[in-house]
Amino acid sequence: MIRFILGYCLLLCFSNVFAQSKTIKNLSMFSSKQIAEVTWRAAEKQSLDYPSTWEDGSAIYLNYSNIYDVKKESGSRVAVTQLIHRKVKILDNSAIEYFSEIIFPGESKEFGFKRERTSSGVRILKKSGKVENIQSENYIRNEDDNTKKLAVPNLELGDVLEYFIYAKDVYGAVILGSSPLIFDHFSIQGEYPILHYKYVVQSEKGYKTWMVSNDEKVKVRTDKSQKNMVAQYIEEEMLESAEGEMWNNPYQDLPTLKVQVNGMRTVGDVEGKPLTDNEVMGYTKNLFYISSFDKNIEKAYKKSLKKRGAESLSKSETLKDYYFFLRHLMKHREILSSAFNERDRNFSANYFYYAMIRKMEDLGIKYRYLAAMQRNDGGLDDIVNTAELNFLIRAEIDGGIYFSYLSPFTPYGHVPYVLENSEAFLVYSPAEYKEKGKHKLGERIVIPGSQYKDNAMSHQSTVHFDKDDFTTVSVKTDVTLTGHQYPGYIYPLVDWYEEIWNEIDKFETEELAQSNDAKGALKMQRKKVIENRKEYMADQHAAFAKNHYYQDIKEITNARTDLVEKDGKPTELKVHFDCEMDNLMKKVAQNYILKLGKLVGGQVNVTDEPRKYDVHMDYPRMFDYTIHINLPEGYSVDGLEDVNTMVDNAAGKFALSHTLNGQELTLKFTKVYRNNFQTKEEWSLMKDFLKPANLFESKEILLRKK
Amino acid sequence: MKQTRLPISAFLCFIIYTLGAQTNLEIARDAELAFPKADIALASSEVRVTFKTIKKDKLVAVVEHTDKYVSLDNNTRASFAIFYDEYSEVKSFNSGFSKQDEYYTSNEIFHSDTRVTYSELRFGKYGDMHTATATKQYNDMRYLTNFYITRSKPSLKRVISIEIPDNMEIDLLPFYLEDHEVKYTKIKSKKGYIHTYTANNVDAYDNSPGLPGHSYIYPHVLVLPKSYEKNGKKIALFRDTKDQYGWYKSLVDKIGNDNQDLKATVAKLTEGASSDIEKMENLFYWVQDNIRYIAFEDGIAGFKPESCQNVYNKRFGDCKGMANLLKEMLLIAGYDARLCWIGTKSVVYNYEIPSLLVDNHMICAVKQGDDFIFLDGTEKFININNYAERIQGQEALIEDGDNFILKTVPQANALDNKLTLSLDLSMEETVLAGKVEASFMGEAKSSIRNAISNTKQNKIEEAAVEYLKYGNENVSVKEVALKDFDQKSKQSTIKGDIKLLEFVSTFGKETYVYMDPFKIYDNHDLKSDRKFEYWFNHKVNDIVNVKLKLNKAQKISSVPDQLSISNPEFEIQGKYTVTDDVVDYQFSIQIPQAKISKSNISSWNEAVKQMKDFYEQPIILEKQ
Repeated sequence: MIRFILGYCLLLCFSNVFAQSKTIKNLSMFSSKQIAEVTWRAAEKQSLDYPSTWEDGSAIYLNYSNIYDVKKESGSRVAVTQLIHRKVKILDNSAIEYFSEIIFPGESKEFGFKRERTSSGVRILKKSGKVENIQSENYIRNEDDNTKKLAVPNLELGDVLEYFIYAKDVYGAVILGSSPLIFDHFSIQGEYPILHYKYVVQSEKGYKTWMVSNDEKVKVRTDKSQKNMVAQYIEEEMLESAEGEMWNNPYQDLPTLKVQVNGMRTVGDVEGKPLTDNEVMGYTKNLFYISSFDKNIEKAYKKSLKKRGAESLSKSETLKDYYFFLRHLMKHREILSSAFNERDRNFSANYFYYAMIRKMEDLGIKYRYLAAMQRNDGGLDDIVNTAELNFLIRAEIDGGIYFSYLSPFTPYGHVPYVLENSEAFLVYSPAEYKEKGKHKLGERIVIPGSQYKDNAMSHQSTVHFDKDDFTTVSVKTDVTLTGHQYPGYIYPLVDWYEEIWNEIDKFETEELAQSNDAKGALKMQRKKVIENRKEYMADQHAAFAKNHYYQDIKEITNARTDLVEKDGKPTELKVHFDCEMDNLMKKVAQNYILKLGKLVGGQVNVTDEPRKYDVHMDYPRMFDYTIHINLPEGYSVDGLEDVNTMVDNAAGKFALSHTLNGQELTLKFTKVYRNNFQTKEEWSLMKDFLKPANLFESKEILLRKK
Repeated sequence: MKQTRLPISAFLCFIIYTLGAQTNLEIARDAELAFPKADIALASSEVRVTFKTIKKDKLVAVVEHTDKYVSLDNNTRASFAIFYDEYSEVKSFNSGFSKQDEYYTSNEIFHSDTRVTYSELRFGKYGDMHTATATKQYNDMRYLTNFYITRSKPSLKRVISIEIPDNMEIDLLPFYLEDHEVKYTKIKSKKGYIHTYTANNVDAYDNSPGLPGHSYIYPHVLVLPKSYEKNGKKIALFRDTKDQYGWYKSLVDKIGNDNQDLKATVAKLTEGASSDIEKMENLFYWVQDNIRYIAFEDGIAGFKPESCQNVYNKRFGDCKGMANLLKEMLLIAGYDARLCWIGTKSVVYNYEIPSLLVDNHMICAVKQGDDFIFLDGTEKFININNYAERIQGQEALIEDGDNFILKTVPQANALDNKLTLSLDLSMEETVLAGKVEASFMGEAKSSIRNAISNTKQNKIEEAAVEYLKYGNENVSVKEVALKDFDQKSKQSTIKGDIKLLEFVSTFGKETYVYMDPFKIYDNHDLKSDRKFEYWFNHKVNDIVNVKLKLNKAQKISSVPDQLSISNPEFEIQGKYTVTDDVVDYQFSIQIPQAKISKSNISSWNEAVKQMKDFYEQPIILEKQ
């Protein structure tokens, strides 16, 4: 079913009828009849020549257009009128199913917004040439939200379904200015090929409009031929359909458009340009202006330092200690108060930033701010709105320590992987700015990225066979995760209540004051929460084990996870569990077959198909397995000859080796992804190490009775 | 003195009452003991049904719901909802939280007039309690059909009480009450009798896969309003099946069919057909191919079929519309075609019970001699004379003028649903390569045809490849071809070239070969604590045949032992035979009743384990 709920994301597409100008005057005042006329005529003279290969697909958009018109309404209100037009040729049954049910928006009203008027039209151009207009009695109206549903009658293979949706939305002054009227980011290619694509934003002068394409993959044009109107638009022909593949990023691989329209009128050039360096850096500088600060935090910290006798730490040590103290407060408040439903004391992101800045100023540590774009969202030259930015602070100590958002689990100096290797503005602190003579707000840098060794999964396991039944296999497993490998597992696997009690001891803080609820209820509540947590962690460890080995696991015992944060060493998440597996070893006559490859879990499968897009991965990483297998006495091993492989290239590495000492077989398996990005031409390098790793998953060895 | 005694005694009563009443925590603990895995339970859930006369002597049923929830965890949520439609209304609704009222949407129904009034109840801590109440009034007795003891949350206590006045004739038909220790009492009241059903510690609805319909497994009471007195006259509702049929017929009589538009198409479809069956096939398959299923349940549209011309011209309809269109087309072609109401397999009742609950589907029946052929337009890709599992063995109510005929839809044999996966292989060093063919009959054919039909046409080949790979990454398939996927073929086939990688391991002079990449049903074990029987989508008859031609340099050293499992509900056979230089592998599984009974679950799980072990055993070759 297709749902068209018009909102901030719709833009105006323009018809060829108005050959000279790309604008449609007075669109907001069109009658339903005029809208239908304009729309139906728009595509009539368009060429219908498309590649014959498109006929093998499910459907073809012969016309795909969005029009967006912005103009002043009475008072300080703004009207946004939208006209969507689709003309699609139906080629198979799945397209009939998909396109034959449509939901249209209806009039609505809420605070600061009114959908004043809507109109829609649907018709079918039959193969015979006949045109069937779908009458309004076919629509079903929902009185709750005024939407209308249509089951398109008599839609058959080979038909062309054509429809439009029109809506006039009026925004009141109360919501203008707080955020853009329109802000959207999308790829122009989609599931079906498009013969004629148009996308237009036309606005009265004064409403600033941005239309920016990634690396200018799409040509954005401007039409100023109409008085007091500016239209920015794109027109493309013959857009092929786009399908995703593993590790691709549509915002970087496909032509995309970023669009923004402001609801407050401005003087000057209305063609919005990407924000300049100074605009971004100025905004960032003001963002970190400390307006308020919770002094109780500082008091609590001083008290904690005194109790611990830790008042003579170095600057660097103090900064780190303070960070962990803040994190403890956040963890304590957020986890405990949420779980126990006690009085919630929020610990906002701003408190964290201000607290860190104040502390650095107190300690005399220089610091700077950063404003960065996520790696997959585009570069610093494409920013149209500060909402796209991510902010960090960098302490200029120990080579540069970054502080991003704070969660109860964020490690010290953590940079989210989406910001690694991405461009950023390094903005000077007020003191540094003054020191430099107030001439330069900052400079551009690239945020350093982690190496594959920083994001490691290290697996150590020992395998035993039950002496009475070799097919029952016991495995003791220790998995150590570092860097970006572990954040997803922190919350489910770590015993946070234990962590909090330990931290209360460590920092000499007190437990949060309890609420005034009946003591019995609260005691029961806490007991219940802790029991549930233990049950939850047990389930999560079982899920982790199953996922780690990529198969069913029996009997998980001794499962435990610790977060180890030691000075001078990378933070590690250490997971331990013992388990039994009864599908690793099977008896064949008097011998046994051991599925050796299953001990390294699931491996990425790659085909020989050529790659369409570049490879975008989250971060470079490595996987390192050391597996000790205590082979049963009385059996020799066959099949180890090919358990020796080495592939090492610029994209990655796969190393497989074994040693056999008596009945102890040791297997080493290492896989490395050196980078987080490879071009599609470099895909063959990746296949070179991924394929043998994948093939090893099916490897078996024979334990032959002596 | 007298005046002071009253407050003291009242105070004492209050103390006694308070001491006797359970605290919230105590209730929560009881619920936690009874339902250890629940996060919310119903401390009590009551339904009280009464009947009354409102303006203009209209008889209505008033149903009062009172649900008392207790939270067994912190930050929990529960939904309290009352559904209503054109024939009922919500007279009152109180939950203590904000109330919403909107259309009820479902993926299966394009548009329905069913609305729902609901609140989301929020609980902060363990032991928190909330009570929600609502009153629903049924304005048409036909739609007052049943009450379930089971709820979506587990209940410490569930009570259904129905007060039947003396001027009404209502039958109450209980189901499975003894199995669930539901107590029944009947007590005289001023107006008539109060029938009360009470149960304690009732589990919530199960959400395991493959469950039978609710009416098979959960305790409930059917309410069958038969008649009532009005101004001294007896007004009939559904006294018996004849009354029910009479009402259905009254709706059918109002359809307003005009089959003029259909005539040309019927003539074209039957022209050149050499037999009656061929004519019927052409009409049946045309409806399957050309009419999309879109369901409207808007008031009476939930029961009255759409006219044939509307369905024909719009090219969509629901089961009723399709049945009606098919009937009219067959009538034009000269056949004795009739509408036919039927309950699918998910409904346990038959037409001995006069209730709207008995049927939920409509098909077409064509008289052939003394018998009938049943045609279900909603079942795409099913052949004529084949019936979907969901209607096999079900009782059909066939129109016969002012009368009706009851007939049972024939049961199919599991052998009719044959799915065969065949491989013809030879060894190319460590790779097994050759041809693969999957053939489908009966419901197996319908399933694959449905899947293909919903696939984009430029993705069909890819989908066929994925099917033949059977989820195995070490299988490569190319050059696929689909054959006989037209409407009339009784068997459809997908073929291709196949390579099995990593199915051969060499250890010294020995080579271990795994011949079966499909391993059908190897992960189909059921939870050992499952409470109800398991239903498959249809009867199963799946076969795997693999032929492996050996190299001249090889000979067979050993093959795995045969697998043979025979059970009243399933039959599993697996064996290898060797003839010269060819190894033949045959595996079959039949599930003739399409179900595994609760008492048979452990046997089934043991069978699955044996199947897994069988699949894991290779043939062993050695060099000549």
